[in-house]
Amino acid sequence: MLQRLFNFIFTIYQQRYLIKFLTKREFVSRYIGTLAGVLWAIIHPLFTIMVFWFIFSVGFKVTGPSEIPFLLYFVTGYAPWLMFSEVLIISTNGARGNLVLIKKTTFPSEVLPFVYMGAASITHAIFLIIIIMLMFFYSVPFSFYIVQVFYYYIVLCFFLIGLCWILSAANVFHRDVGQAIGIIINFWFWLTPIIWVKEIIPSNYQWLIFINPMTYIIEGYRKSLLYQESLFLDFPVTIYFLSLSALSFAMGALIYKRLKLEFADAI
Amino acid sequence: MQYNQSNISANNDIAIEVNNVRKRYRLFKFRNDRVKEAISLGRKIYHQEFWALDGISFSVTKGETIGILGRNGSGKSTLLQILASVMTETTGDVVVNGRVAALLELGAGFKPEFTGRENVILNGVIQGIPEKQMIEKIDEMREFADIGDFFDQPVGAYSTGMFVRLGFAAALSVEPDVLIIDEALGVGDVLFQEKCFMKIRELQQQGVTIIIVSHSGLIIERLCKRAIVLDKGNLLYCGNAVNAVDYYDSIMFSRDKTVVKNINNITHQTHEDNVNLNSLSKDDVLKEFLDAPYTGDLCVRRNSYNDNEVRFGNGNGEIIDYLILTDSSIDPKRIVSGEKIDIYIKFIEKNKMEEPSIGLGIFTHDGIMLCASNTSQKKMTLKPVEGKSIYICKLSFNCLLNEGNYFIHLGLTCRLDVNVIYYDMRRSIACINVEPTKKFEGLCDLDFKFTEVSNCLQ
Repeated sequence: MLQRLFNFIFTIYQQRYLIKFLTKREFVSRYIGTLAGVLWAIIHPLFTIMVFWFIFSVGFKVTGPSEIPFLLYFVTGYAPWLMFSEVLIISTNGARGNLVLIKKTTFPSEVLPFVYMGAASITHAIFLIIIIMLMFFYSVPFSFYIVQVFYYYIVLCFFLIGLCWILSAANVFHRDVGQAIGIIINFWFWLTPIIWVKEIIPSNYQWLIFINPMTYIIEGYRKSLLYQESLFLDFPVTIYFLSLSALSFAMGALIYKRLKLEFADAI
Repeated sequence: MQYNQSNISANNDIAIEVNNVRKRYRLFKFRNDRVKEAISLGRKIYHQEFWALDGISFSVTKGETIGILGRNGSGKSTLLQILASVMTETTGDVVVNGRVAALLELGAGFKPEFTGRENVILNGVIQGIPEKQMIEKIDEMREFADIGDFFDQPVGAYSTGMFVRLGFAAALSVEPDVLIIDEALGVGDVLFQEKCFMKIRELQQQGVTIIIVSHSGLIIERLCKRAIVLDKGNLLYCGNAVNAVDYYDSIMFSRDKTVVKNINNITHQTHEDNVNLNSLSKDDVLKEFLDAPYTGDLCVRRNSYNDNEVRFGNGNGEIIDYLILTDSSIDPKRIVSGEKIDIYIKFIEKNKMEEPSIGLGIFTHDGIMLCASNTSQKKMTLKPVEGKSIYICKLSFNCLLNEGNYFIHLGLTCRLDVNVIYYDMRRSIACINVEPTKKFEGLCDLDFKFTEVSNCLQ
């Protein structure tokens, strides 16, 4: 089993040029034919943040925990969530959406989640740059803890890949998966402390929100950008998240490798 | 069925080895059945099985070009998909050595919003060629596709022809060890086809192994030395391309299941029959035809008999035998254009027939009536042979047809009244193949006489 897993990972490594190329194409294809072109990649997050700024700072006037502007609190959670939900939804329909390539050419469809992740990472990076500019604006102090963002970004990807493989393969056989994922993501959003503050949960029940692996990521982003806390402080949660990710990665890889053989039959 | 070429010496000479490959499709009546069956964990079966490939074995040596012939639904595409590892075989082994490029569909995966150039590069990268290498070769591809400035326009704006050209250029840019081409050569205009042929020749010389699927026997004969014939998931023939094409033609025009199953034996027999007939003289065969007592329908044993004939009638009379004789052959399946042909038709009166009239029509494979006539049109009254109920009629004509397959209809009717009474109509009872002639073009030779004007004036 391990052998098969490593073989699978190795074949993906061999496809790195393809991943790079497809990522570029995927990113460009979203904006091809538009006048503003790649500028849209900046306009989108910028306007999203402006809308939220208007709501939270002008309209509702809420403040985040420990005097952090609520807009910053929200956006630092929203950016990784957006990356997560976008990649998950697009990848779920990935294999089915590339039906022609799968049926008519020798196409290594297992690279698709990487491609979508790559394309979403560009938007994510732009988001992060805007967040950093916002931090200047609100004069939030910077610290070297900010590099922890890279760690959280990488483990987010690690967690995502396995999930994407499982869902994308399942969606080939049952289209219901693709329909359901939107609803699940919506629920998941409200179960994760993105727009609400985790302190509203009584301290006896705090562990409940940490069952949700996305809490780890989102709180992690905030730790690195806003709270200036070390990621080593919550060691048990880190272990929990990493083992969950490893499990999802291994299962995803094995399931995808197995079901891939039947793709051409099923669609 | 073992068609493995056992004389292949070393293992590393083999590009493709297919060993007893079977492919099963599970057919579900309703979409939900697939889910239901999965949930029941094998306790309940909702699907029907369909074997698209039923035990195929063959091998291809490196640098060889092999053709695959077969009717629609014979399993060709499934086989190609398995070779291109797009699909997995249910049982059996497939070994393909080297990089495979599959032209299962021209321009598969082209994105309409990207330009031709971008799509060609994309296609190459998907097939595993580094982007840099593709960019270096792109001018060559541009030249091959030969679609001018459209090369840098979005593919969505292309005409079908341009799309096909680009698809071909993209596929050939991959420089594969094994190239799989499915029906792709029949598209494009003549000049572009010629270009593709040249390119394939070039690849052949470079030692690329090529697998070509085509419905066109001409293409297979032109490009391949060896070909295989598939039908209903079985490999019926593997060998010399010209024979394979003949073989394919023979099953094309006989759709009866049982016949196809045993076609190996049948062709074998007809072959022997031919030998026997050839050893007999024309007179002997004719005598045998004329004297044979009525023992049932003898048409079926003729070489040209087409078991896909359409037969109807009230049964008062029956056409029981026919015989084709030409200058050079007896009961032939193939006829040389320009020969004189005699067709003998024998029919029997079962119940009282009024003024029976026998007719014959010749049709092209796409149903154009070339000529048809009957004895009543020729004001003939038929008489039974020696007062018995058997009638024999002879009809002669010069075969002025061009090359191709032709169907012969025979009809036994009564045409006294405006309403025709059909005793026994046997449409497409025979299929004959006319061999190529270079003397004219078109369906039939109207025997043009050319004369130099200077001679006329004299």
